[in-house]
Amino acid sequence: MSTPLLAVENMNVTFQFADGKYKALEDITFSVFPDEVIGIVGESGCGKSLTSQAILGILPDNAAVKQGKVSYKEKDLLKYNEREWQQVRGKEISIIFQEPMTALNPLLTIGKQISEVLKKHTNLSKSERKKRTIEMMQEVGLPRAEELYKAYPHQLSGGMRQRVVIAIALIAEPDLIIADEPTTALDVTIQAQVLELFRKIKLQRKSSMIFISHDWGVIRHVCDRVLVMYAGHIVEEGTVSEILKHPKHPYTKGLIQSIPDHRKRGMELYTIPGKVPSLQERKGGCPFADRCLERMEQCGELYPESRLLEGTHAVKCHLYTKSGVTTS
Amino acid sequence: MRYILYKLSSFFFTIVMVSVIIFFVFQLLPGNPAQIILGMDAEPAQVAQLEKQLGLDRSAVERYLDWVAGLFQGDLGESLRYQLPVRDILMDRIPITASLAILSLILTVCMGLPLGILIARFDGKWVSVMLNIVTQLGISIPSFWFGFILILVFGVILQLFPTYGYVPWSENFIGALQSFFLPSLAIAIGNIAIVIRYLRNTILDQAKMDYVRTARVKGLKERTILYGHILRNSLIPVLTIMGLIVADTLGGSIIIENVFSLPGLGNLLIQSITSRDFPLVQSMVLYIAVLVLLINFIVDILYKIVDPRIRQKG
Amino acid sequence: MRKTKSIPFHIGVGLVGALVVMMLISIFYTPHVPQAMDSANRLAPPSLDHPFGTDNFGRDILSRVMEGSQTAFIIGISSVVIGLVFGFILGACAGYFGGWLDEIISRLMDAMFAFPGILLAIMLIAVFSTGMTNTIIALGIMSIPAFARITRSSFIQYKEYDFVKASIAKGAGSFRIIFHHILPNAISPILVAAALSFSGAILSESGLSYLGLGVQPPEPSWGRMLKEAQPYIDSAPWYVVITGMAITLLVLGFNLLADGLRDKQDKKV
Repeated sequence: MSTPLLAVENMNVTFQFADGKYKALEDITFSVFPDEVIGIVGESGCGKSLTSQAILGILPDNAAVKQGKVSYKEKDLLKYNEREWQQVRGKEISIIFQEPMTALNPLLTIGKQISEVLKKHTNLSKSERKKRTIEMMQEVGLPRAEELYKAYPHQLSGGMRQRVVIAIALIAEPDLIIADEPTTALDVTIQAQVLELFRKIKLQRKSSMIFISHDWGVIRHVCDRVLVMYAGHIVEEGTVSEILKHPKHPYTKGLIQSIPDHRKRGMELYTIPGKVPSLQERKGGCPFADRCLERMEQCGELYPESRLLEGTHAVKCHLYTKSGVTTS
Repeated sequence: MRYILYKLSSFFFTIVMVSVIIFFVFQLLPGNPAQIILGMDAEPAQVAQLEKQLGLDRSAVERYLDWVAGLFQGDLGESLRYQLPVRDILMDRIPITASLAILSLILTVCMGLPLGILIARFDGKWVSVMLNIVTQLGISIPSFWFGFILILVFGVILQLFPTYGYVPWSENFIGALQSFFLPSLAIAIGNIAIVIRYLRNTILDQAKMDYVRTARVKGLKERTILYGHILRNSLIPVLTIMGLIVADTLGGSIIIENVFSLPGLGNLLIQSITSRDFPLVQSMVLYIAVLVLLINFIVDILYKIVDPRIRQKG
Repeated sequence: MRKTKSIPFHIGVGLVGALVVMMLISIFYTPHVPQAMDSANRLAPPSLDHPFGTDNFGRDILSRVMEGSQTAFIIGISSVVIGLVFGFILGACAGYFGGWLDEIISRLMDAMFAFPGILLAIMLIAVFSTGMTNTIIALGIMSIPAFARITRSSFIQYKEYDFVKASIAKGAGSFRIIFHHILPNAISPILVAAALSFSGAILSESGLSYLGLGVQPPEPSWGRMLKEAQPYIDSAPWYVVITGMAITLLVLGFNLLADGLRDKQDKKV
């Protein structure tokens, strides 16, 4: 493949709390190539959203990238100052958040909130901006766009608001779009519609996407490749079919086993025992060891190296390192 | 619309309550009001005449209804001391109190809002502690004493402003502004502190909202985010305390007019109390209270109009 | 973090404490007899003998300020007690029984809020004439609505709580419910209101006395001292400055105290 659009290398993110520093992301390395849709999966609290915030330079005040590199179009974003970041956000990389109900300013019209991006990043005149905004609103499936242009967020349903948020993310035609659980907060039927919209975007635009979700159904629908994250680490990565058909990491296996499936109707749904350790609870060794059904002696002490299995499929687990038992 | 009707009816109901309270408090005057007003050594004939003038030969309910009916026709009664209709006396005094109150409100807004924004922008542990102490100091200073300090610094030491009396606006605009400036500032000081505290807190609360994150990922400058997004949402809660601030400004002018010898309503009120001109006091108290209620009512309605979420539900 | 944030609260405690101590000392000892006039020593600037100078009758300002603090505390405490007792009864009735009683009491409190600043007190004093007792009564009445509102909302809030509902279901009497369940929880917002009412009463008293409508001679009063000091603002500025500072510091102390208490209470909830 060509040069990656976005390359994250060995990125660490730490939180500063009153009682000390805690690593929230460790050794995050992945690339997004042009025209590619990457999925990131994992339970809540694994660092999926934090990864996207680090890429956009919008980490919380008490968090910081301590190490590593984030290259976008071969430029290191982490060296950017606030002004340069502002040129990237919305124009080069945009993001769609989970909560459409609160993501919009209640006191500004829909039109103003979408066209504001054009005002910042283009030289279009006021009337051109309005025209482009209404086109964009139609493109994301908002009905009566002319009318909605002057509406306020509270007049719109959750699904429609999420379409507005998507329009905001798309209108400056960024090359990379991050979607952070964009359908989680919506009703099931609306979810399907919004997902369909994402598929359409994927087909029509040349943008790359990072799609964060804990829903494998969503991932299968829109993604080319998947990263599985657990407790601040990428534990497995590969193409959607590699991961879904041949999951290697016990965590990935657990996640896939817990997908609801019509064939398993009537059976109790599998859940991985235990929960994701909080930042304060994390210690050396494999962070999944405590919940792992295939735990070995070295798991508690040594963090497993990444091992490339075949093609693009890589995993970090002692089951597959040289010291471990190599089974497949 | 239904909301406005509800507010309107409770506004009128409260006015009635206020008028009843005022009327009956003045009925509680111990002894014979005519005797108290005229003093112990007054001629019985004089007392009898005043009794009649005050309508003391009729029942309290009758007198109340008379008073209210008069009010509706713009008749606020007659002053005993000046032997003039209360309305005419008030008309001379109102422009002065109004100038004072309006200038004081302008100062409150023009100093409170920018300072509140500024301090919110430089938020920090020590900034917030210092701010807390300084604004509490502003709230704690008696406004009339602050007036003295202003007289001492700007009038006596620097000799920049006149320290008593006033110049009418029509005569000399700059002179009038100068004569109203120090008293207005004395009234405003506490309210400025309140606005700063309140605005800063709402800005910091609003800055944590999701829509601010959305604005940030659009690539907007922090300035644009603050003035275009956060401030709009922060000013609506500030509007709710404006009713309180206007009331406080009117209350403050009662004392401050006496500090700077400004012949406004507050000055008249105190004089009337000293000269036992009860009809005048009674009408003035009602006038001020109704004004406060009216302003609170307007602020309430304004608040609903500014916020699109409530405006459209109406 | 927590330490820095509570600095204003500690300053408040310090100010109130220092002024309480000054007030207590003044009962037994003042540097000079507060009423002792000295015509040879009128409007004397601060000196070793008179640290804050003397007034227009040659009286020692420090001694008068110390004596005035007694009046300030008496008025503050008594009016808070009046406001608290009546406000609590009205607010508790409104909140506990609700219905038309609540409606009437709430409207009455609204009507009282329509009198800005010290207007209500001025009206009451206009009718009942000046003096210490009437000042206390007027300021007490003025602080009723604040206590009534807070008590009412505490009662409404706690009435909905399960533990209160449970004891109503068990057939506990109204008094028992109020004293065992609602009162202990309502106490801290009421304390905050008490501190604020105290500082409000001090401010109002000084205003009233300055206008000549409050405490009358021979009772000492900071507000009236300021009235006496005003004509000498250019010849004896210390008289004005010192007296006003006493009022400001006492009010500031209680305001910081109230603010700190409210912060602590918010953290607990």
